[in-house]
Amino acid sequence: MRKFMMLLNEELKRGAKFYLITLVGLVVLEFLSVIYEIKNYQSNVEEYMRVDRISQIEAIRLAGGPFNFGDATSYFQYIIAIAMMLILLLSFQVWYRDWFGESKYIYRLLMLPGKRTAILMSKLTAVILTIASFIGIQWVVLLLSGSLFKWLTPEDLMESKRVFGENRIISMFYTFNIADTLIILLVSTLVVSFVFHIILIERSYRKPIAIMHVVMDVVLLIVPLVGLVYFFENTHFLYPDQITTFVIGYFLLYFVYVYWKSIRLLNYKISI
Amino acid sequence: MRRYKHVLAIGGLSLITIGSYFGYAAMIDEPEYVVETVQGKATDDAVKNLHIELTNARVKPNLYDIKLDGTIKVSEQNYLTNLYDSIDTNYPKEFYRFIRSTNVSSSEYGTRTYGIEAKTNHINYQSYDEKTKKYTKVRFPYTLKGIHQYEDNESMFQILGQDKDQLYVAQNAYGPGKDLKILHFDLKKRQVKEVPFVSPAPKQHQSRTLVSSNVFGTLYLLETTDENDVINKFDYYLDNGKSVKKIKALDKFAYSGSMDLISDNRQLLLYDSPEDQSKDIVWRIYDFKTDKLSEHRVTGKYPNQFNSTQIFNTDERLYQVSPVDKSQFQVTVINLKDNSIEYQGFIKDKNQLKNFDLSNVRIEG
Repeated sequence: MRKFMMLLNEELKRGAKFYLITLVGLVVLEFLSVIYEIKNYQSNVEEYMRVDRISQIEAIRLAGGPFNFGDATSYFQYIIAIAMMLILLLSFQVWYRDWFGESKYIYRLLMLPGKRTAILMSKLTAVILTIASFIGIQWVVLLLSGSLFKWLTPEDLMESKRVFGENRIISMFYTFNIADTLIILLVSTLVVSFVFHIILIERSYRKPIAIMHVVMDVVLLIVPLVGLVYFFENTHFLYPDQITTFVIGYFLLYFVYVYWKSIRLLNYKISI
Repeated sequence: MRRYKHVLAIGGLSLITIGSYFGYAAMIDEPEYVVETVQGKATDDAVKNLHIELTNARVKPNLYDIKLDGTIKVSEQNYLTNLYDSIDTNYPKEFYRFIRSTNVSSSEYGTRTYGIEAKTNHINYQSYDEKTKKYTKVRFPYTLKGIHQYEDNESMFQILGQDKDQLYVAQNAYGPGKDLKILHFDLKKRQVKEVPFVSPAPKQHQSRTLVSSNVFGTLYLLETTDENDVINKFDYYLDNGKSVKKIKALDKFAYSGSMDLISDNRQLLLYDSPEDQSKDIVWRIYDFKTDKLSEHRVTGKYPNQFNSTQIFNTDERLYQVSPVDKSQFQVTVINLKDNSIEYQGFIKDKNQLKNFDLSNVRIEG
């Protein structure tokens, strides 16, 4: 545990710069996007009134209706997508920086006494903690954006002061259900684990064999799953809900295999 | 502690921010529903198995399953529960496999689901009643004539009415008009008979929609369209196998809304969601024997809300649930036999939270 905690701290320390720059950048981008959307809408309405010499109500209609929080945060979905891409990038970076950095940090890691499982788990936990903090910070940004929206938008242009339920994408992430947040974190963990798995294969074998292993593992994920679901759906051997349980169970089982293989690769295949 | 300062910083930040989100979620007001009965009793046969489901899709997507005796079941809706919403699970396994088979034509009528499969020298029939949980399986020794190969066999048969063990089915209902056949399934005697049908096939710019079938004949709607496919004429006809009679009484009723057979298939109930904010609940009954259409009306305590009322008919009763406002719902059950309000009550939220919608109204034992 002590080794794991130390390694985790080291991982977070090494990624702190990337983390801070990304976080500050995305938060600033989100606030700027809210201000831009409000001001842009306001100027559009004023422009319609000035050029077409029409009433404010008519100008609001031409501008697409009264302004709401969903309109103010319409860029959030793109910023969230950027954050997801950066997390994916981080999943690669946490491994490759150790190999390609000047100090070849991976040699020090691999020479540490004890099992190498702690290396895998510390890197995985570092990425998951980053994801969790992004989800949390996005929540705070959402609340502050709500206040910014109410403060900057003139009341006569506003559809409602409601913050939640106005943006479809945000509503998908923030359902006010603890189970949903845990599911998001679980799915993220599975995706990151799969990326780690591919990296470890790439580091363990020569190129053609590594490609063969990756293809085999992708086939192992897709072919039996698609084949069996096709079989169940056509023979009606299982009820639809039972097929759903089967698919979830298969995914979980597959990721047990991914962990098992990743740990084996790290312990027996990767050498200094 | 300093040794782990990065873990503490990022871990702490995650904990505090996500914790504040969970805290906010926990503090969202939940509705506190109470049922107020105005007329009748919640334990009456008419309403004791009535389930009214309310949801709030905007914020916390919980589902409130309310019974009129005050029992409320709250179920959390999350990503996982949304994956498990198939109604097929309610069916017995054999029935589920049967109706999902490629050559089986399946359809719903009232609380029943039917599956019919045409074989070379027999017909396989299965049905399941959601309300009584009764599963029926019959093999009819009957050779069908004029079988068409449809892309999906869904459209091969259409249920036109059932009274106890007597079932009326249209074969090739959606195919070429000349190939339409009306069949009578006697589930008790395990017999199929072709019901005489003498109406000519629809002409060009005409389309026929079958409404129902019973001992008096087969009722259908004949729509005529102009060159631009706009309906400019519609008439109801009753084909009794000897002659075809135009049912003028039904022309008064617009072709929208629901039409269900009631009173042992002798009458046709016509009803629709109210289109104005009146307090009246109106329905019409067409009597096949007397060839008369009568209008019936009861007055509820509150006006109906346009487009949000759920209304359905079962067991000679008309059930109507409509929102009075977004936190109060009116439930009315009308006995069609004596035109009386059998039950009336209100589901009220003590916390008066808004934005709740009727998700489903169903009868389930």
